[in-house]
Amino acid sequence: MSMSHVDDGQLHAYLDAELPQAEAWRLEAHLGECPACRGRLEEQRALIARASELLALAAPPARDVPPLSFRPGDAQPPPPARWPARLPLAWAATVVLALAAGWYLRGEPPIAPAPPDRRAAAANAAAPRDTARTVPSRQAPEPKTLAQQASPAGRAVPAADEASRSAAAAQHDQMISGPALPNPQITPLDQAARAKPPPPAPAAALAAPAAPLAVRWETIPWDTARAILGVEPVRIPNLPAVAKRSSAAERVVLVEQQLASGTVVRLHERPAAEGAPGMDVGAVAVQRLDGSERLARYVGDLRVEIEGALPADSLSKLLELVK
Amino acid sequence: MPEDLAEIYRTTFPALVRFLYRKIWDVERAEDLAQEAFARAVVHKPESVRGWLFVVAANMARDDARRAARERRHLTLLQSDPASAPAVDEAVHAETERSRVRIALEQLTPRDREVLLLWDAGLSYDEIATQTGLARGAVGTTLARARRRLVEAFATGEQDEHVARG
Repeated sequence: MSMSHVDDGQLHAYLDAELPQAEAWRLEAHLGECPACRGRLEEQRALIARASELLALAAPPARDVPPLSFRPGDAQPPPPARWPARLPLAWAATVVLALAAGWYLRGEPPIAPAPPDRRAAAANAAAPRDTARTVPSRQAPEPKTLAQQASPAGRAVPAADEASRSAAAAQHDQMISGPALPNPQITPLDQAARAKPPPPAPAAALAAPAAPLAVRWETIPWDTARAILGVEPVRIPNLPAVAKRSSAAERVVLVEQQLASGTVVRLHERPAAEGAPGMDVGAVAVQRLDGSERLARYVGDLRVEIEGALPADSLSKLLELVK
Repeated sequence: MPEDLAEIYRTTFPALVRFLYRKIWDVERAEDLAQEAFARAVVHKPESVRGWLFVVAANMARDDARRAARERRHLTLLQSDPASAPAVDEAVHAETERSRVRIALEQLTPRDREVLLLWDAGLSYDEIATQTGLARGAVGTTLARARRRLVEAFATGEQDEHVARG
């Protein structure tokens, strides 16, 4: 080193083996010819040892390393355990929000066929305002009616459905007593849907076995569905849709749409004139039925059910469609 | 990533607990926070896991200290004697030493203390520089000062106690 002496910082870096090699050589060269700095080196060495000793006194009591797992009762549950539940929720929530935007648009004044970009803009403006609102849930005495509506075609409602049924019933009560839509005038959500004839009903749906709470949904023409609701039924645009009706709830229209992945989106809708609460996307029920996730959620008076796994690629495809 | 993280966990967890312990002085809480830091690492998958862990741990310790201070203010009147069995002399001695070091550590400036604890937790000068924003060349100087102050503060504390005892 060309300098006469070394500073403490360099000595500590040297003793910590953190001094870059070239600097370390120069420092050693200097130490070789400077007894004063050699003395300081030993002082600093002792200081470092003493500081480490003191820190060791303040070490936590020795304990075994716990396994990399997360104990129950921790304030924050482990993320790995949360993923399976959160992922479907995330995409399902996106779908529900997209549908919510579409549903909300029907409150717009009937300016004849709005261009798509305009509708999208209105959706963006309308959706954030109310999405945070939640409806206080309360216990409902008789969940039967809505449970029947909610039950998909030809499937008996298993006992595991109980929780979802009472939640649905609470929602149902809310629906009935809720305020009417601010503006009942209608703008069709999807002009193209009108021209499309409904696909034929699957035979299996009609031949479903009868069970105590099972509800049979029969495919009806799209025009009939529109007549029941008085408006164009809500659906995901550009995706095949089947309109259905059950004898148990004749005023409810079920729109079933199957995504490529096997995920089924079911939209239960009733005429807006029969009472529609404000938009609510707060209530959600996810459960496993036969190993599949099902999500049921209300957007206004529209009940949205999503069933089955949804791979990422079909999600982005779906979102494109919704846009 | 999972295998990597398992390995980092095995090697870094004790250091992280030690680091946290000297900030919050509660070993169980320190372990909880260390686990929480690893849990977050699983989610965030940071590039440099080790450095990231210490950043997160430092933040959590700071939040925890604030929370603890708030709770102390509220709970002072409710506190009863902890149901601790009469400890043997050795444990008392260790506890006394520990609290002396604690007092000495608390006399350091926050930056000096942080650098010292990070070094003691096994971080390199480079990692410490990244984490504290210090120039790499300043880490040695900071460590030199922190160590000197710690040793001096501890010695001063001991003297004071002897004087107080008469």
